[in-house]
Amino acid sequence: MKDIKLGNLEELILLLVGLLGEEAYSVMIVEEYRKQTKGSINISAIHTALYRLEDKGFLSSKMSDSNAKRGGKRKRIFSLTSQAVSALNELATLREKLRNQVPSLTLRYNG
Amino acid sequence: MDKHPPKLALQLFRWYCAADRLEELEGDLLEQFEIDVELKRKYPRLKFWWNVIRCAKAYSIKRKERHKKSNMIMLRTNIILFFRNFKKSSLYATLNILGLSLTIAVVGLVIMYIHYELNYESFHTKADRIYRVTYKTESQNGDAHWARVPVDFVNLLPEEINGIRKLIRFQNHEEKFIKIGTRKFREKHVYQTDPEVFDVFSFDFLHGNPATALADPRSIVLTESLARKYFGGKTGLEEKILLSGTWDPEPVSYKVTGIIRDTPSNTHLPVNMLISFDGPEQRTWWSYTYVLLEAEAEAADLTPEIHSFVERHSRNEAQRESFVLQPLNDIHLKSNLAREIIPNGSWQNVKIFAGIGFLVLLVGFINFTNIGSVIFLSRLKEVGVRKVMGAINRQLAFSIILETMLSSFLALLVGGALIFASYPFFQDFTGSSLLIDPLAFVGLLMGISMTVGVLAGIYPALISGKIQSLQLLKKNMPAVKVLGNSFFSLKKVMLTLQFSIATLLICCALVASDQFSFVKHQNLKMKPEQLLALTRIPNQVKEQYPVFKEKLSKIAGVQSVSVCMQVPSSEIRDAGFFTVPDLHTSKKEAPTFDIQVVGHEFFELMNIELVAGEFFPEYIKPRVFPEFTESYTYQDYLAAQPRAYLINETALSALGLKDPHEAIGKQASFELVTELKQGPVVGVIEDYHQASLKNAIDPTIYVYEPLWFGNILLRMETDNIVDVMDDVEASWNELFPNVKIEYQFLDELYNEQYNSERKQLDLLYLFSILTVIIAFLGIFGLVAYTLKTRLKELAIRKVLGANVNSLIQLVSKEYIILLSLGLLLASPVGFFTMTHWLENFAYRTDISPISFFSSFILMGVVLGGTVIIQTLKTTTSNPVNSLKDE
Repeated sequence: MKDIKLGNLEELILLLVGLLGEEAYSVMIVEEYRKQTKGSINISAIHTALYRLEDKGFLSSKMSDSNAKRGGKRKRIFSLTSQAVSALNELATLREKLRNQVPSLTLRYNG
Repeated sequence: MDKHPPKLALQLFRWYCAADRLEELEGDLLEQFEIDVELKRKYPRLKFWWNVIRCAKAYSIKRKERHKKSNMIMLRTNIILFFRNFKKSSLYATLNILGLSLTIAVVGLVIMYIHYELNYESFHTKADRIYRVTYKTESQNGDAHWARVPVDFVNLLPEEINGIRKLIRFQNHEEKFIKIGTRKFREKHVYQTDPEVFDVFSFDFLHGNPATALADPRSIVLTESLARKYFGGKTGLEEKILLSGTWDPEPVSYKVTGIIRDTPSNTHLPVNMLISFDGPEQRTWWSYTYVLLEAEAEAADLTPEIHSFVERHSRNEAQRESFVLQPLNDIHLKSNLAREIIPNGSWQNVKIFAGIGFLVLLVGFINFTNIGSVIFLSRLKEVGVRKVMGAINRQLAFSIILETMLSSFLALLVGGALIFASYPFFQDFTGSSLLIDPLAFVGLLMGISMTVGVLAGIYPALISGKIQSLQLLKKNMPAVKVLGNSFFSLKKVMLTLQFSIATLLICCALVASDQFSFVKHQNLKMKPEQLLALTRIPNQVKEQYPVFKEKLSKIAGVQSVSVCMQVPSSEIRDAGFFTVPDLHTSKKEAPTFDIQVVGHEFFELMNIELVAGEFFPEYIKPRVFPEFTESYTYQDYLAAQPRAYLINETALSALGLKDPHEAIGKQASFELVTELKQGPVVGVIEDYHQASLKNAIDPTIYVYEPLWFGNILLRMETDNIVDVMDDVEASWNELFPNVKIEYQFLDELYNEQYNSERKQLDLLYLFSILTVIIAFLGIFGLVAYTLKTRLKELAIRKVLGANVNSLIQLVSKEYIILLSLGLLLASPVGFFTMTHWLENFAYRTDISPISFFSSFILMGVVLGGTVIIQTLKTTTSNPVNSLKDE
């Protein structure tokens, strides 16, 4: 298996981008993150991660049309690239496979 | 709740955020704020601030370095472009760099020279506290200011005046005769001085102890080079030296107690040897006297005290005496008193050379700017392309200034090499080791060349920022239209200035050379090239002069022999009161006249004619020198001898007499060391120049006194001077085996009087020629370029039937106007400057218009030649070649 260089937060953000679809931009990701994890994260951390992922080729982006919100400024909408999709799948499969090979762990958690 | 985010935070964000991220990030921050407000979260404004601060990260901050980086990337390209352009327009670029190199070399040499002149005495660490005591006399018959002091009460200064710590005498300054084993030498700059001299002056000891070196009588301290000359490889300490002064009948043995480093050449007090006193009784009579002040004392505060000190001690009734304290550092450039140790420099010279340096720098700068902008013109298209490709003004300016700086840096390298190569010549020429801190010097030159580089680049840089790139790219757009008239008129102004500076310098050099040859040829009457002087003869030679003369006269080729005190060419250094009882009721009315001691045939030998009366009468004849004792002193002897006086025409009129015959037979007496016996005035001789023409002819009396003989003069009539010299030397050695003979031709001695002027003149010539060359390079480049831009026009004119003459006229018209303007500007300035300069001379030429015309013509020829040659080169080619290139 070739290496996939993805951090924990990065993987999470990729998943959130996939989840949000057309609404995947930084503010929404912050909000979704809060909702899903019950934790909080600063928007600049999301920015950093998004630009980094874009540089790595996991995300692509385009500017949206402007509307009355946010002072009429356009937003940058991110979407997953195929590289990101396969990486996410691969990681998930890998995790699943590994977890199934740890019976005691499965037992303890299932029990 | 406020629905607006904090303005200041937003401004901060907009200030730091990069433009390409600003929109989305600002939107995000705003939306986050709106959401926070909507959901009524806590402290939304504070959070906004927090987010603005947190967002200042690598992805958002404006990258100033991004521009810098691109400048650095372009740096390489720019340097490559510089060398490519250099190749492309190698002629102009070489001219440009060559001109500036010459300029830098000249400026560098001028800086070295000025630095040298301004740093006299700087090796004496206490120089700011050392003052020379000078002696001033005032009387009805005139004032005099002497560099040395004859009165003995000067020794009391440190005892009686609080602020003066020490007093050092340098006396007995006449040339010394040295004998070591069988070898004989003569040395100048040998002084008897006080043991504490080394506490005051910083003579650098190599061997021996400065504290005790001159404490014992008969001790001597030598310089390193003399020690090497006398004792070879040995240090020389403890060696014995036989030494006699001009007045000593027998040599005295001295023990070497110290070796000092040679004094630098920039001092008014060069020292070869220092001798101790036998005792305090020797601290008397004329002496160069220096005082060391207490650290806190100010010379100005001491003046009244010194004044009353002199009043207390002075015994002189005929004259009012006073002392003047001169700061050691001022002596070289500001002193120029009677009896200076060596000739002084002058502030004026320093100013003249600083002025020349500045003018040359100006010409060089103008040149560099002019040719630089010519090269720039040929690259307008490149500037246009750069602009279109998105170069911003700052980058353009950077690249243009970088190029001029690179050029000036290359010029600095070449100029530095020129200085390095010419340094030995210059050193030889000025007779000085130029002591300058090399680092500071290089730094200064670097500063000058970089400043020139930046200044020369600024104007093209500004211009290229202003013009529209489209205009630059249009084909066949004349440069005038693109750059505007001011670009060209500025160049014309600079060219005019350049013309006038070059003209000015040539003109000054020509006037100076007129004056120089005028002065030099005044002395030709005596035919000094056939005259030989055996200089500075010691006592035993004076004593045996009649015998020696007899021997000399027998040598074939020697026409006549005579003797005098001050060798013609050197200034007379003694003066006294000339009292004529018929004219003066008391001694107080007597005028001060110079005295020259001469032998019988002196005037015939020198071709000086009698105006009235006769030369010395029968009763004035050689005498046997007496033995001086306590009871029969030198003064007693001098006072007892019979006298007869000759005077010159200036003295005649100073006595208030018009007819020379009136003076003949009048009784007179003269007082110098002692009162000479009264005797008649027997003759009046015509005025002649004893010293250089820088000095006026002073009223002078002539007496016969063998004790005061100083130099033997020989007139020779022979083609074989070498043989005659051998014979002269042989008879000297036969009679005076202890003393070294020294001789010089009188014409050499006369020329030496003008050494500093001749050197100045040579330098002036050199600098003006260099300026003309620099100016020529500039004109050459400009003409060549102008012709290049008018190639097509000239070709069309030619096709339409214009001949070469009319083309030359057409091209040169503009330059002739500029040249005439330059000449108009230069003439009054040159006239004024040179009139001012000539006022330094007692005898001077008029400024002849020929000097001006010659410089005009020279400039005209340089300019005309350039224009004609270049025009011919351009127009003789087939016009088709330049026309078909469309």
